[in-house]
Amino acid sequence: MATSESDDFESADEELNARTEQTNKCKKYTSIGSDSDDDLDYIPVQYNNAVRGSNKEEHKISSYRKNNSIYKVNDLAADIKAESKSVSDFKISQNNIEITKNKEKSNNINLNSKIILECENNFCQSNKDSNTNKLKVISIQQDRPQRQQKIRETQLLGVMKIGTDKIDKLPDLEITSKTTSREFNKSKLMNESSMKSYENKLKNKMKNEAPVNVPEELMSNLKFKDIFHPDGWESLKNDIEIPDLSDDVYHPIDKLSSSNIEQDNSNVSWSKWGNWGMTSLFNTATVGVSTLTSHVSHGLSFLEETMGVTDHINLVKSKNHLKEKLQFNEEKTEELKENVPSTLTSSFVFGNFVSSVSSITKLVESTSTKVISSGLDTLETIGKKTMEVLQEGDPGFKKKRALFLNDNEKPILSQILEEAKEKTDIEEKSVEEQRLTTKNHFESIFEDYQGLMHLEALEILSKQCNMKIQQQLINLDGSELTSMQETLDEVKDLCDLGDEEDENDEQDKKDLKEKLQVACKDLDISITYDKLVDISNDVKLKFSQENSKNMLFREVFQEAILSLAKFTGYSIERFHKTAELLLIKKHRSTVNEADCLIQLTNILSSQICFIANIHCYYLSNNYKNETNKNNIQAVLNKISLEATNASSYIQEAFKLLIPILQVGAI
Amino acid sequence: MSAGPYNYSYIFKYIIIGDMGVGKSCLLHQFTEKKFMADCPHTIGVEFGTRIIEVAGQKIKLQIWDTAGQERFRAVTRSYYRGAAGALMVYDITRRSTYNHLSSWLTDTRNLTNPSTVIFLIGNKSDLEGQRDVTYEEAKKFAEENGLMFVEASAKTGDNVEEAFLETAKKIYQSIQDGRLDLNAAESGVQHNPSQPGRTNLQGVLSVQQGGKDSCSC
Repeated sequence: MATSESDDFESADEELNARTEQTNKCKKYTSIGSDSDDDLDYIPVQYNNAVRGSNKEEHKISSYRKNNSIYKVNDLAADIKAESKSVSDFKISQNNIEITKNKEKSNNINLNSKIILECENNFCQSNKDSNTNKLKVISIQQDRPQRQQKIRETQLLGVMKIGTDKIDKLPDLEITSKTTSREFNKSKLMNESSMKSYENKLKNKMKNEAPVNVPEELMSNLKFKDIFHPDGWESLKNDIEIPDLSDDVYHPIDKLSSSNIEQDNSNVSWSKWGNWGMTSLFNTATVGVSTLTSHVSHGLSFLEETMGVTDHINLVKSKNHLKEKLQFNEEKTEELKENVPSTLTSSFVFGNFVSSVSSITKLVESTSTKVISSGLDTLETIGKKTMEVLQEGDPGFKKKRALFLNDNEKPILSQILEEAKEKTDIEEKSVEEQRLTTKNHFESIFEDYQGLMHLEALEILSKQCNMKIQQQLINLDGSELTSMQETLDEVKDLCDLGDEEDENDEQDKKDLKEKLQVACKDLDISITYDKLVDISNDVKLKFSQENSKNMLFREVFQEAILSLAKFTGYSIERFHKTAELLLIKKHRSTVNEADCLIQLTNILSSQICFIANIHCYYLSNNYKNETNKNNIQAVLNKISLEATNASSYIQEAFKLLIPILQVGAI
Repeated sequence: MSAGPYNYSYIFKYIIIGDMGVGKSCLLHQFTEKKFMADCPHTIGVEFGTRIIEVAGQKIKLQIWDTAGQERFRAVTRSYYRGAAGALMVYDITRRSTYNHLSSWLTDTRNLTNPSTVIFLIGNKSDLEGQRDVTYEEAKKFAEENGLMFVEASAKTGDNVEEAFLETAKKIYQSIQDGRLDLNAAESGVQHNPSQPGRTNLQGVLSVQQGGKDSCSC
């Protein structure tokens, strides 16, 4: 186990280093490395209260910081090895806990030896004087590539530092409350478990000033370290004093994490979660109401799940609590003992948390690995799910981070909900409007009548014919090639639509059906254009009747667009069918076909004009009183625009027919 | 008609193939209109049908190309296979010859579509049990041997028609989720975010982004 893991860690180290280098914060810590002989431990997680009493522990905790800081320390120390493992979020949290234990042990004791992931900890070796600092940072990398580097950094939790640095010696660390808060936010973004550990760390930093003699090593703890990585660790900065961070802020998270939820201010904790939910809500607002509600429920369910998990842990903790104390005493680990009473005295919540941590480690060691593993699985799932939800629509957590940064401006949940509702209302309105406009939208009606699909299919046929022609051209040379080129060009010339139709006089006398029949007679295919005729007749009928005068201005406009789009759609369909039938025709007569298609195209184009004109005429003559001039003009322009659009569709379709004619000619 | 071009996330291109008279157009009509078309004229070239369905919460527009079964149109209809995400291969359980031609249809499909195209074998006219000429078992065996999905359906009663179309869509959607079907591939049959509504180009599947739905799913 050890060997394989160590390999992983080494590789992880490199990553960690790179990341740490990226961060500017490292500079701050450089001073630390030079001066500090103390062991840099990472995982302060839970002892906060207990730590308070003990000065020793405080030092360690303070020393724990972000990976970056650790990293710098490492650079200075030169021996620091960062070991990163990809571990599930959940595991990480537990690791934190273990790590904290280790810290306690080693707090006052300078650990010279490197801590290997395995149980064998150098912690036992209490060399206060030893200056060699070896930092092993076990960072847990989550596999999710989506997360941004920052997140990863936070996730990279330095598990153990065995360095000799003492916190006391640490140079002045300039860490503003802002930075700490940021880190804190990051931790929030991370898994719940990680969040917990992080907060605990922060608390520890703040509160811990008295180092406590930590028992040597917890063998079991070391193992756990491997499995679990402390998350919050990174966020901790050199500054021990974090004025801005208020207990209230951290309490909620602690509660959730430590299952102390019931005891502490439910409001505070809720607000935290509320914020969390809020971000998601904001995102949701853009999407829609339905998604919004689902998300909210989602978030709630998450809360419930986490609470349940924590409860489970608590039970275990309480059971093992007394046991642990006794055992700890027996063992070298006296820290736990000390910590527990101190926590009880100092702050109830923290005490519980610390005790719970110790109990968990105990559990893991002695009794039920199964329980933990299953619990871990659950937590892992929850953590992953949480991350997914958190990250949805918010790559890199930018939005959420921004939200957390503005602690003062945190809105109330109800406010957020209200805002979200307003947003969705607006969106619904716009959707409704969009629906109305699409009703008038030429393209969408055209698509509804499958004009686009037929155009696409026609395009396919046209391309295939072109390919066929090109293939034949490749196989020819000399005079054959020239003559074939000429043929193709002739066909092209035949297909010149001309600028205008000169048969206007005649056309007015015949009706559309007759004209189409005449025009397509020489195509020599069995195809009818009745659909087109029907539309045209419908339009005529509508505006010759008395009841048309009851139509609203808007309705006439809609009718115009509908008729145009429908007519165009059917025209394309007919062109497509014509092409298919021509292609399977046994005896092609290109000249006739070209002539017919030109006539057909011109007839259809003029019919488009006819439809547009009949509507425009009606609109401009019957609604003078109701609507202002500008509006009428705008509508007329729109109709004529769509008529042009329709004509261009028809002409495009005609051009697609040319290769089909050419194929027939060669 | 449809409520608008943007109320779906994907467009899948289907193609229905099979011998003349096996009921391809009737299956399509049953699926899109939920009615049985008793007197169905011969299809010229290709006809279209569309319907919006929902798979895994995603609205998907099925763009179904119903090809002519007549032999004389084979050259033309072969042009339409390209970029189909799903192919419904239909035979008539009362006419053995239509079943015997399946391998040729299958060859065409395999040659003219891409590997990720879902091929669904449909034995139509299952309501005519008395005139059955092809047993369910042998068709099932044929489907399994060739890696096809299979069902016996009736365009007349509507039996299993819906299922065939929906199962195909589910399989395609699954392929997208699994990454087996690359939306960006030229002939995937699936399109995402078409600039123009409903235009499938050479791909059988279109994915339509509506109002930032994909970019922000929270």
